[in-house]
Amino acid sequence: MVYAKNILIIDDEETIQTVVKFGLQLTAGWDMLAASSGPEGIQLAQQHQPDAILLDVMMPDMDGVATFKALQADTNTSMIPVIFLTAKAQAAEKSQLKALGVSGVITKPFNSLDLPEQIAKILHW
Amino acid sequence: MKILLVEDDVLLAKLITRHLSAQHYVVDVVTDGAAGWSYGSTFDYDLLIFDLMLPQLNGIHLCQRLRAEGDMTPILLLTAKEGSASKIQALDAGADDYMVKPFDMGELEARIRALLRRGQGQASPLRIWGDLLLNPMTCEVSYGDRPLKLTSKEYKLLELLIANGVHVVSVEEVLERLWSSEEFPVESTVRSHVRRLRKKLQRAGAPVDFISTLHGRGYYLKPSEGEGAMLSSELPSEPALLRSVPSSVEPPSEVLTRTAIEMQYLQFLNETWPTAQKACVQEIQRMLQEDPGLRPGIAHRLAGTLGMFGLSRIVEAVRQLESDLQPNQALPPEDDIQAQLQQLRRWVQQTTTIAVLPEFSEQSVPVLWILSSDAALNQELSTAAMSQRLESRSFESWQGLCEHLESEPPPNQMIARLEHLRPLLNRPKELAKFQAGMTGIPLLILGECDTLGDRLQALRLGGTFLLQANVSAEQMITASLIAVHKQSSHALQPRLKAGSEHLKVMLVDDDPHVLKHLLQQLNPFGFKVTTLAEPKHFWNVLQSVKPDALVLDIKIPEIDGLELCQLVRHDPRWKRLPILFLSILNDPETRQQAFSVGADDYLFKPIRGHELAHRILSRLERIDALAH
Repeated sequence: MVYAKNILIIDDEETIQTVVKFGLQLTAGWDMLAASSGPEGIQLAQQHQPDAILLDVMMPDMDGVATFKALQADTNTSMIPVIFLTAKAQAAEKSQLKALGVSGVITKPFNSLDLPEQIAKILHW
Repeated sequence: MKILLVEDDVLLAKLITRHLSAQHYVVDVVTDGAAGWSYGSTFDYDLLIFDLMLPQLNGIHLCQRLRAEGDMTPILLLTAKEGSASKIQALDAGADDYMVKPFDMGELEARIRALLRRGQGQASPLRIWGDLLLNPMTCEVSYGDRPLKLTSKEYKLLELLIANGVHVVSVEEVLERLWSSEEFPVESTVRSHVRRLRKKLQRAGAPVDFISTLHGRGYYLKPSEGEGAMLSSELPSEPALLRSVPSSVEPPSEVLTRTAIEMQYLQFLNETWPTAQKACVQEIQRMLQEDPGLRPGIAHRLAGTLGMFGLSRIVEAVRQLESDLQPNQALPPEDDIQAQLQQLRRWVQQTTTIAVLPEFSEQSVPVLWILSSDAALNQELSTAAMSQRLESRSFESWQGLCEHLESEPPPNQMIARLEHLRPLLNRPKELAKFQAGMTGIPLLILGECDTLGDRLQALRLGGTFLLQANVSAEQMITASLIAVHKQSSHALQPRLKAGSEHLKVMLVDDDPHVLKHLLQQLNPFGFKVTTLAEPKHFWNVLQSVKPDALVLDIKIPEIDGLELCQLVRHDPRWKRLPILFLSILNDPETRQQAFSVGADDYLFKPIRGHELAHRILSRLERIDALAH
């Protein structure tokens, strides 16, 4: 059965949340949840069990890596695939991020219209 | 095609990598099973090659794990064990093929091709798209009957596009596929490769949009009328949209066309921009006023936000600022930072609409490469380049530069110090490679002193000579930009008026008899003639005589007339000087060459004095007429 995916984005930049939400809904009809910080994201992930999490690497206080580790440590959320969002300038970290065990890395800036396809490809949906 | 090789025998791994790279495969190599697992499960590969005996996790287990995860990438196992037991074990674990060491590289390559073909459901090893033919066995590419000479990256790019056909391939995907995980090229790199590949295809007769751009999305090959018989089953009418929606994704109830979606997205970005703009201006304000320690973080976020709107020029500037502001390095003067921030703020404020979809806008920032080990000069040049909206990058040695020239898209222009390029003149092979890589790219060569020798070396390197001592960095950049402009426009330049009553003619020929003869013949016509048999004094004589016209022989020992002509044309003071060639060579090719290096006329020997005089005069008259 085909159903709309639910994606959680954790990014402290509101504009990015807005643009991503629009892109996901327009091209794929997916739903999106948004959190502006790691702790908020973890809470939403536990409550809503999204199909995937898009996680910004660089956030104040609790950064993406710390958030990812917390998600992994919790059995409620450890099975949810996580895709890191990272800026071009940090592309050198890409391999390191992948070595952490995340499902994939998407480089910023991205075109939100391509996002569903990118996510689907990374997660083999 | 990208391959992961997991092999703990470092020497064998190197050998295989070298062979496969020569066949244009991109190869990632890791030496143990655990690393193999983390690479194999996170990156996309077209083929996996594992050694059977590996530290940490052996090849069989690695196969089993990947297959258990649903990974269907073709796997080839390598082993030192002969015997059907391990073979069966390997195939049962999910490997697709099996080779016993030592093996023949040719056989390995053939098996790889077969596996890749099977993986893509192809019957024939040849890749065909319309008139385009790519032969992976020989790495040859042709369009129609014309062979295409492609660089390794261009070959891989084309292969990737053919494999995807009418499906759109994103820049991200190209980056992932064409570069190994150790490299981190930027997206503009892909665009430049595409541009070059397009040019080559076009020259071979392919339509302009053979590689089509779907703005903001990526590239795909355009199906031409009646061409795609073999691919007809795959040709959707709206290629991008169908592809953009993954198979398990239901598009919104009414199927929107691609353009409609893009229009909506663009409209949305424009609606969102005013709010984002306000926020961005506030952030810049914060950087201006608050703790400098917070600046890198703010700059980082700012780049992310602006990037979503595709404001690439501003994003580049913010990124630059972010890297300049990193702690644990010498920070730029506070005044500079403030000035840059204020400029950024102006740019953001001035951006009123989002005109194009983010990314893929074809007009990328022109790139200038600088070859110089003089840090101060490089700094001045970069600053001057930036003010002209050029992206600059410096190299300290020709080796480093050539390496990048080979593996990356070329810059739009280059400024190099002669001393750094000079060694190339004694390395014909490297020089040829350098010149091939520099085809069509204006090269400005900075010399230390104004000698013929230096000018000639600059010319032989394929560059235009510029005396470093008498120009500023700004002037260098301007000269470089003019060279780029000239190359693209070739506009007819108004010429200088020919000088005084006594027209000065300079004759260069290695045969003293010819010179004597011409001197006698021209004198009656009132010319002041200077003859020169030794081309090595050419530059000095030219500068002291300041002739109104120059007559050159083609075949001169050491320096030929064509080179002299170019030297003259490359100097702003002399580029309008009428130059006539006088030669015994009357083949069309040489004539063509002469005109292409800047000749105004081409005459054959022997010639009578009055005819030569007439030609010189008519040339000067025409220039005179043009000047008025």
